[in-house]
Amino acid sequence: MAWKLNSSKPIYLQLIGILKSQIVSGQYAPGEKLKSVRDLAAEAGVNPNTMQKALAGLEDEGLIYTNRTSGRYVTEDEDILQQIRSENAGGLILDFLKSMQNMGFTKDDIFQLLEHHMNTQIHSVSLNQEED
Amino acid sequence: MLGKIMKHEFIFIKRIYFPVFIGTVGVTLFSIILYKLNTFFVSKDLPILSLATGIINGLMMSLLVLVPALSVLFVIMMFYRTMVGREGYLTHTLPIKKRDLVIGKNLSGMIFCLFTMVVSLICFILYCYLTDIKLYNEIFGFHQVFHHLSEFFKNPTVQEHLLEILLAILLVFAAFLVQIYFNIGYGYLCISLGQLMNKHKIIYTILFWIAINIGISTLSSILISMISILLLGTNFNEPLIDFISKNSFYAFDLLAFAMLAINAVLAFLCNFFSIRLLTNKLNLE
Amino acid sequence: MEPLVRCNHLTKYYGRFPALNDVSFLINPGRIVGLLGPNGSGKTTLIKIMNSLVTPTSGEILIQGEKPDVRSKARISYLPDKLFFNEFMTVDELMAYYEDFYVDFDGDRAFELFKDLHIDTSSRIKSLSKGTQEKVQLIMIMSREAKLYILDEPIGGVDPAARDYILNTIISNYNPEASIILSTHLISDIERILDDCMFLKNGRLILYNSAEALRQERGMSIDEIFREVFRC
Repeated sequence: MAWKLNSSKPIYLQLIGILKSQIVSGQYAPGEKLKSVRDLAAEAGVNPNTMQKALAGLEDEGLIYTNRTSGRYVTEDEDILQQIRSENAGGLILDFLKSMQNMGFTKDDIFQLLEHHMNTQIHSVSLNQEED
Repeated sequence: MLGKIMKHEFIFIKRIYFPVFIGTVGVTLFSIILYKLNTFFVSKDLPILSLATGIINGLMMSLLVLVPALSVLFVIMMFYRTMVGREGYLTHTLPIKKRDLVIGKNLSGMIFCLFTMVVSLICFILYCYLTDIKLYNEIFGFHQVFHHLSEFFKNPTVQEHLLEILLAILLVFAAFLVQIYFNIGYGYLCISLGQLMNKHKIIYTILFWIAINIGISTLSSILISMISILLLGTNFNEPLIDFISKNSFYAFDLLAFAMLAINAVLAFLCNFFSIRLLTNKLNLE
Repeated sequence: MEPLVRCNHLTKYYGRFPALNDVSFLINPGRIVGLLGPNGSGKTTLIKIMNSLVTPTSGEILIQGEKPDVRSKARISYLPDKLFFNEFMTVDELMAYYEDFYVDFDGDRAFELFKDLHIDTSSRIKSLSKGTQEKVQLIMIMSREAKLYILDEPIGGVDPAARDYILNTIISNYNPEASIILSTHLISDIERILDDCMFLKNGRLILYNSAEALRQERGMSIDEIFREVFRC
């Protein structure tokens, strides 16, 4: 099944975003070999040259590296991975806070709700992680 | 490439012709059997049997005449279908020269038409021989054919000019083949001209067929009269008869060769222009 | 390096009607190009000229630097938008036919693709459904190792699942030395696999740019750009 993409925006930027999420969410282990450009492009349902450009972008950011003879690999550098994770988390938290503020919650309300949900939801949350 | 084209032409033709072939042979055999039955039961009055025999016999004669007669038309229609119809998208995108396409189809078409004629002839001979019908035997004399032939070849004059006679027969056969080739090639040329138009390609093809036919008939009549006059002098009655009586066999050879040569030249011209038109002025719908 | 396709001031008149009017462009190897435009824009005429099925009025088109002829036909694999095989053939016979005339035809690969799509190769083309016939044609075309693939409406009459399969096949067969020209109306389905887009309007080439550049410049999908450019 092709990846969900918005055709109104440059595709290669979206591909970079999706691949980043895949890497930091653990779909690829650190140091794991990536599929070939063609196979990735076929999986995503996009032009191979566009996928190539996205991979080059990831390489620039240090998330993947190319071994000339054997292909592309995910970085083993935990610092970079952690940095990306933090960036992603920051983005998610920002969106969450905006939504909560729109509904009219104060800072204290938000903390209380968070604590409550994390305590009761902790089991289902960890279950979800295992499924991933 | 020429061989491959011809091979595939035969495959295509076989698909449609094979049932016709089986039908023709089947009807012939059936007709023979019915005739035999009819003679066997001649004492008993069975109008149904006579009727059946008549009908099947009529069917057989129709098939034996129509199938070879329509074979040339069939070949020409196949050319239209594969070169101008939607199958043209396959034919014209193959990496083959138009020259190979036209000549290959023309040759395989000629062989096919000859085959249908041979099949009809054999069926007819078989029918006459096995049914021993007085009518056929009196007109075509198949039972006496071998007798006549041996008498013919024992004739001293014939033996003297055996070579010329055999040559004449060969030339006539060759001329016949080239005639078939030309008829097909002529159809191809008309199609190649017709496809130049953007609309009503088939109508234009037929118009070209008629127009060129008239043109060539007129031209060849003029040519033949001119040649006759040139060869045999202005007073062409006496020299002609004189010439023929003295060199009857040579004259016949010459005539057969002339037919062969004219048809060959015409066939070449048809192929040449068809190839030129299809290469440089292809106009596929 | 000589571009794969070079078109110089190509013009084709049908009577007084210009189907193509002074069209010039070039296509390099390794590109998937979308040929986009409404009916009557000249797409089919351009494709026919590339395949030497129609002769131009003026101008020229060069495939690997040569005029279209027997040699270029061996390097081009063309899928027309209509059924162009003899319906009385079986799929096996069709493969034998291709083996005979095309040196670069990969019969094994074609057979694998037929198996994937559950198409019985001993069946007559006439007996197959229209959608299946179109798949058969596409598989035959894509099973050739050509330098230029020209696909005229390859996903038009096909169901969405098969559409995905076809687009997947096109991506998986990507070869940096070959190029693909895709002529279609169904832009939203295919725009993600396009490198470049050629917009033809009334026989003129009005826009030719990479898909990503167009998205960046205009903030619209190619489908949206098409609707705007060809607004009725």
